[in-house]
Amino acid sequence: MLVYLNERMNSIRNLRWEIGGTLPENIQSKLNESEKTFFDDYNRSLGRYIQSIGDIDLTNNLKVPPQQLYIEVHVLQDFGTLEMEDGTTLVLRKNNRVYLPRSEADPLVKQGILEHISG
Amino acid sequence: ASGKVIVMESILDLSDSDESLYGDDGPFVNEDIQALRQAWINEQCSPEILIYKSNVVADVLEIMRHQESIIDEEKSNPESQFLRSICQIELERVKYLLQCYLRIRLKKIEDFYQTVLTNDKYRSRLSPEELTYANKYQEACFKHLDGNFLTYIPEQWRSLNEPNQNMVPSPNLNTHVFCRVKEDIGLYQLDEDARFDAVELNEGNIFILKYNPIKQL
Repeated sequence: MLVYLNERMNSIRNLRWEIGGTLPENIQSKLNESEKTFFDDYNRSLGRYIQSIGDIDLTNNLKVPPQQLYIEVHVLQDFGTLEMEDGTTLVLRKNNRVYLPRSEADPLVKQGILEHISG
Repeated sequence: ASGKVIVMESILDLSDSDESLYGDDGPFVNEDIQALRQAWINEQCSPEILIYKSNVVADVLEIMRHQESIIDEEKSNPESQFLRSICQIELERVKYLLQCYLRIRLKKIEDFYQTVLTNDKYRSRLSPEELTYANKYQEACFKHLDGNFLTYIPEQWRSLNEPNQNMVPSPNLNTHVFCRVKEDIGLYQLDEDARFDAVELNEGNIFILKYNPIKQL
């Protein structure tokens, strides 16, 4: 029984690293109340740790060191206006191809709004 | 692993640029970043959590902040845009290294949270922030397990820390690791019962050894 609970806890932890702080509906419906609380607690304490070390987001999932500042992405959904760190804004319309700085694009790729075009 | 044997890199090879960095007039890459890289490699290859390199992390953070401020300052200068891009990508890569180091440590803390918190040796190897994190994580785990299961079973089975049951995961100290010898050690007995021959550890040698016998080196 403990093994079952533990395995689920491990999966829940992984979800935070792969998807982010908010879980999509189809996954939320598979968790019981206590697991959702666990996820929230985990999320919160991870957030607090990241803040305490100077806001270096550990969850951006790069497998190799970044090679380029900008990456080309394909917009999968209408997103509207994206405001970037330096203040410039860009409208993301479905099926557009855009060059974005990696730091802006990565979280959107994780959420499924953008798709990285490689090559 | 302290001074004499350093645990080497695994399959993830970031060293493709190493040759060009060590010119005859000395290394081009900043010493602190090298130290961080070594710390990360050691952490990656060792099954247990190693001591937190707070100086290295603090120094690297300072370098990063300094670089960031340079990048900001030069934002409006058209002549330095190219160099600025290079500085930016370099900053991203150093940030990546720092993220890797901290992330692998968090993972070890999470996987072995009970061992890490109860064992003084491991506790002392955590940074204060990591210790807070470990405690919070343990709280969250116990709350979840208690609520779901442990309160429903009889009192005598409730403890997660039963010493004679193997329920608390702890790092497997007998896995094999890569390592490179930094100083001449000479003959070193790997096996307590002297069933196997001793191994000659000389500077520059590279081995795959079981972690336990060599961990204090």
